[in-house]
Amino acid sequence: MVIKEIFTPDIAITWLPWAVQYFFLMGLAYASVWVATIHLCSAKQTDARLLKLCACLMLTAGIVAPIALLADLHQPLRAWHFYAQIRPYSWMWYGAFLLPIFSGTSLVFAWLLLRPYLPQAHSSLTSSAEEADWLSRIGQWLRFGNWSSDKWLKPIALIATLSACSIALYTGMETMAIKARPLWHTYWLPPLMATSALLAACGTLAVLNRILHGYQASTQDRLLQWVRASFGLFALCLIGWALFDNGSAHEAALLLDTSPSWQLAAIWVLVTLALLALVLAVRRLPSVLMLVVSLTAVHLAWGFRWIVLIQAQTDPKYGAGTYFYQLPWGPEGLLGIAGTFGLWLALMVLVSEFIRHQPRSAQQTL
Amino acid sequence: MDKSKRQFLGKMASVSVGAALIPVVQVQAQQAQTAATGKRYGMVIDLRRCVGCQACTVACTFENLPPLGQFRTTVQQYEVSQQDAATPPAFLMLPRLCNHCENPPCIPICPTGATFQRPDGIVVVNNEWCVGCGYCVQACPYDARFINHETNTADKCTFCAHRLEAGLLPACVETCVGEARVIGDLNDPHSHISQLLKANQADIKVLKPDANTGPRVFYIGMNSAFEDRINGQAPVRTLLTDTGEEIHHGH
Repeated sequence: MVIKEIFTPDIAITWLPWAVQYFFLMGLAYASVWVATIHLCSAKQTDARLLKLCACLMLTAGIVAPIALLADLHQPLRAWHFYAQIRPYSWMWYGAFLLPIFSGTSLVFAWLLLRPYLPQAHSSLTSSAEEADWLSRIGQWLRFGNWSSDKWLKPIALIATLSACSIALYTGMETMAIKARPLWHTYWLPPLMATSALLAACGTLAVLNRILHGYQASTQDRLLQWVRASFGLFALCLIGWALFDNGSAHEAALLLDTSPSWQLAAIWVLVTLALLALVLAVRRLPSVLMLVVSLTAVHLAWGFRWIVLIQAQTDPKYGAGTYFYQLPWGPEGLLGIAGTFGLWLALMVLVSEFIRHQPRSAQQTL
Repeated sequence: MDKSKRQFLGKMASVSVGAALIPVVQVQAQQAQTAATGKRYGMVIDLRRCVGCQACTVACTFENLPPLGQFRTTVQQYEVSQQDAATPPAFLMLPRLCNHCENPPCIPICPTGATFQRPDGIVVVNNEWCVGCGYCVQACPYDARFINHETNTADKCTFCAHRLEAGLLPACVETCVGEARVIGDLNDPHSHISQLLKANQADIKVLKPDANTGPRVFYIGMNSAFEDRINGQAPVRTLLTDTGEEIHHGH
């Protein structure tokens, strides 16, 4: 029997590119908390530059991500409705509580990490011109006094890491819980999301180390190890999904058979993975190549989220073939993507301004 | 703190708590309004009677006024041909709408409780409480839900609950020229729908029976090839933008 669809509607996507931005930026935030905590707890001599970059990333991405999430709600002003009843069967409802907890803990963790770099009220190293600077005055105020906060760092790091794990779990499970979308309904999805988030965060940290003033070669070497490890984990999860998953991988194979856009996506993923594997196998990377690798890793993680969250919505639940999606230019499309990245960039600039004044040593200046 | 300040803060706290609870009470009130009729609504669609005229699609649109390009019900049309060239192709008209499932996957995942099932089985959305997260749209295995471009909230077929409450038939049922759509009380063994289901017991099918959703829209005369996702050729599809502009692509 041959069935031809003659007259069927095309179903528009429901989760817009804002969702990709949310999952991507939140991934950067929670993975940078992981990197900072693991480094803080495991390294014999802490890398101040790495911790500072992690703090900047968790702070800025952690602020922009919830904004992107609110934008993906079609009624953002009703967000308080999440808190007015108990919905224990909805992962999204749990997320409504876990997200502000993470925002709070990661904010405190980032503040503790950056606090030593905020300008002191009566620092002998601060010039009189800088004292008059309003940014400097706000920076001084943000220190909340000159007391030592070192003893709080590890306890808060552990709390923030637990909170980061809860975000990784809920964002993965929220998507995985949708049985109606076979592509999403796989236990491989949460680890794929988490490992790709780690890859993106390590790549972004390496880019930030390169472009922000105060580049440290030792930090870049350490980040290269992180990129290698997270890439390996992501590739292993991807191989595990392809080999051992029945529903989701089977659906992907069906799409590959019929859809040119899915074939293109698969070629892109495989080529990017192969190139990264090849370059990461080289023992020492020139700094320019390291920058290219980092950007490629970031683009792989973002593209992975695009495929999972946007392209998967073009896979019909009942109909044949695939649905049609055209990226709009406006806020619900390209402008939204550019806007969230622009906001993140602006926050990065602002944060780097606050902590430029008085580092522990001139070497560590951002 | 003096006494008047304490009293003022106390009153403010009660007002705040009260304001926060208003919507909860509203949601519960809406559920209570339709309590205990003892009915369980369902629909039978006899595909042998459907001619694909789309009168139901038009009537639903007139009744419920969804935005341009969005529909609560449609009639999907398929050409079915056999492998041998001698048999001419046949056409199948498949009316689609919310299945008002017994185990609706759209309800438990709703993070605000805006979508709920009435005691008479009809699944509805309180669009004054819906945040438009689209989670229910993703969870529906039948693509029966959508985010209404005008209200920015989840929208779907309600079996025209407002008409049923007024003693009228849903717009799609009333307008169907072939009387292919029959709505009624599944709990009443003497209702027309129960009789139809009994008489055609061997030929009753639902969409995606393995999804464990318990659909309460039943089809008579449907080939089992249409029960699950269509394994066939897709048409050239089009999408309408919010402004009515048509965008399309070929496969």
